[in-house]
Amino acid sequence: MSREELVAVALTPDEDLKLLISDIESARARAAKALAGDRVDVVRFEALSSQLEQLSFARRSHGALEVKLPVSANPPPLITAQEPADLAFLPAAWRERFADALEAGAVLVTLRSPLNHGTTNAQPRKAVEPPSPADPWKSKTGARGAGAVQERFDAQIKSALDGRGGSLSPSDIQNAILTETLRTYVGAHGKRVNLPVEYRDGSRSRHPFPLRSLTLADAPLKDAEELRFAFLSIRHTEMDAVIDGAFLRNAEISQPRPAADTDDLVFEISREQLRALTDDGATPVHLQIYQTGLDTAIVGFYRAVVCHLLEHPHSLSVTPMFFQGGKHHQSKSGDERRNGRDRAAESKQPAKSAEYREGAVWAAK
Amino acid sequence: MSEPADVSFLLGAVYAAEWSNDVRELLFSPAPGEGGLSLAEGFDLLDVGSSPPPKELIPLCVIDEASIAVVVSEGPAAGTVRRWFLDPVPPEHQCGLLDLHPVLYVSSLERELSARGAGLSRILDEIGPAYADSHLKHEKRPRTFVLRPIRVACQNVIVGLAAIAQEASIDGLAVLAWQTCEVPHVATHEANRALAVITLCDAFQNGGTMEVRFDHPATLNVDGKKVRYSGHPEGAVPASLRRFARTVGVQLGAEDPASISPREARELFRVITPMPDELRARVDTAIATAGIKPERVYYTLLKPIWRAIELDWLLAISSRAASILEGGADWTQRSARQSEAEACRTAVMAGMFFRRINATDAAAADGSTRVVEDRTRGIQWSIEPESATIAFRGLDNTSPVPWARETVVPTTERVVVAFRSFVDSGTTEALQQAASEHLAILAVPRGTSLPDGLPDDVIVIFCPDRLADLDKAVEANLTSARISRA
Repeated sequence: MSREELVAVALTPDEDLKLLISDIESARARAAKALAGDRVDVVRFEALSSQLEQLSFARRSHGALEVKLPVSANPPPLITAQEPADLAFLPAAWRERFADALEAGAVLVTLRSPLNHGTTNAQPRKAVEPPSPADPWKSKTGARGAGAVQERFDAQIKSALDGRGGSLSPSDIQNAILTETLRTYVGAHGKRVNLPVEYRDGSRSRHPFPLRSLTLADAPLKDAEELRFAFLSIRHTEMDAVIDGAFLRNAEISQPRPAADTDDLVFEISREQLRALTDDGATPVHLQIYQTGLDTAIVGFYRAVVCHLLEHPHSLSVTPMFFQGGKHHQSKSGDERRNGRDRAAESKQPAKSAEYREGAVWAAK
Repeated sequence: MSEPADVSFLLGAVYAAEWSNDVRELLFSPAPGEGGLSLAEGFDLLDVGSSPPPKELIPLCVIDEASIAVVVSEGPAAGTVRRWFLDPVPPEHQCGLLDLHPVLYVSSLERELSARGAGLSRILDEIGPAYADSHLKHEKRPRTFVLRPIRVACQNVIVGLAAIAQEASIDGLAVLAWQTCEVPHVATHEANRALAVITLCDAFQNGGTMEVRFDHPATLNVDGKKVRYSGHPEGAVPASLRRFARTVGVQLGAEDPASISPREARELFRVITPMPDELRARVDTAIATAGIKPERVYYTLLKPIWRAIELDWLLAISSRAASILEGGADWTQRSARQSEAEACRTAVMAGMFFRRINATDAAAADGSTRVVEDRTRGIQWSIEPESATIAFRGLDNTSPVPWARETVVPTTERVVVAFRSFVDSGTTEALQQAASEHLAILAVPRGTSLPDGLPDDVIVIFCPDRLADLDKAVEANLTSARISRA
């Protein structure tokens, strides 16, 4: 392998460079605030950073102050006089010169180039063997279909709870099985376990799932405000007549991104919305959630529900509504839809509630 | 299988066995029954073929209208079953390995042909139309658990059909149909290889254990009626797939005859992913030492997220290849990202340059129909990791080097190219050294300012893409890598 090299270069900025640096700072700030998986500002930050690095490489040959750093160092990519930083990553003999340069208005850019002549001088790493092939999974009870999926998911959680390692892997687990199994283990007896969540694309959620963390009630909150939500907007517009709104915006959630990012995003949005809906736990609310089978969203949402119940136990109850097959609802004209809403309001049931099954309620005792 | 006596014994066993009519009609036999073919007819076919066959070939059975299966009677390959083309074909495709010995071959043919009718009607009359009705008609993308038909065709001839679905209850792939055929214009076992590639890539993309089962039941709605399948018509790993796997040294169905186990899938994935030897060695080393999941590397090449030369470059020059294959460092780690970005954008440039010099397609140059498949020059590359340069061999010395501002024609057997977006003194020194023996080229993105003092004997070429365009292509590749498993 070729040799990686890391250098710190002090550049005296002209107007163009100042503008570029200000653009980089603004892109970095926007990227840090972007929703999980939103790459627009990340790509902008990276493009601008590349420009700065290309410029810095070109100016190196014109006598800029520079010093080589050990490749194992992890310095900040850019230091300006406006943002004083710890220069401890620089060799001691050079710190003062760079500090003076920064004080005089220079900027410090670190450049890591991987294509220098020689064998690689990266930290020698211990050889890591590839993961072994997985074992084929077979039901021990001879279950098939949904029963087998339930058994597999159950076994996976039990194994992790018993300390045999592993994580919660919700990919490909059907909507109802995923929701109900999670509920079972959230309300199970025993010492609380925060189980890491890992999806089949290898991504890991930032937040573990708190199992054995609540004592669950069997019935929803009494005298609570009733709200019906589709889990995701746009997915099944036929339900519009019977719901009060959609809990999540499809456009935000259904984006190509690592699965764990979607989970994290749903968790963060849900935490905020549950706080807002319950007035920070002051107003009891009962939600009926008409669910779609997006595993990442289900995990993110119910993690938020558990966290909310841990903070405000008697402010929220959630009844999952599982679609039972057939068409969600026939498309209707505007008038028919309005009539449908009236009828649904009268009966307090969705127009075709027979197509949905009520799941076990998520409420704290 | 090295003794001629073994061959006689094996052929004797073939001739003595009872075969179905479908097989008997194809078999060359010393005592053919009614409608059968005689050995003499087989030898006649060999003799009238376009190229004279070696004398040690014994005709075994008909494959298609332009090729027959033959058994090698002596020499190191004695006993193996080969495909002899009667029409002219490139030498590397003549006498391709069909199976390890004639009994295995004819038995697998028997099994394959006995289920072919059922498999064909299942795909063509049931699964295909049902899928067209449920998805194609509504321009709907199938979810992984939907039973999806796959059709592999080469020049308008269908050579492979399959129907697959990810099955959550086994955390693996269920295959309800899988069949291939050999046709005159397609290389031996290529249909099997292509369909195996699609099947394994699908299994990887869906997540799961990579187990591929052929006996998992499924129910399909066809014209309002429920049709129930108990698995693949053969009820086991299809004979044609097992035959192909044998020729590449992989035994399928050894742990369970109805399943390709995750371990077998990994072995098969490795051998069906085409790689030059140098790249294969690098891939094997990277897998053994860097903890890279083998399936991810093979998928990366086959999708392709990174093409062969690009992956070879990344593995050869960067200690960060494992991170790159998984989608790269987080953007907040700019220092690591900087190194990865330079490795990736130079890989993209190398890939573009290689495709340009390796292509022969002159669009409608002679006014006739264009066949663009396999129209490559066969340029070879070799990476010099320490200097981070690529040596290309086999460039046409009548065609100018692409991307050059002035006409430069390769005058040496090897052309050494350094792909860079930042040029430092080390690069110019390496190129100057190379220029003493070979044509030395510095390739940079369009718009790159060059340092002073570049040696005169180093040719500078400019990639048509600017740095920002290359970074966009890199971002697309890294995003694909991050979300490749759905």
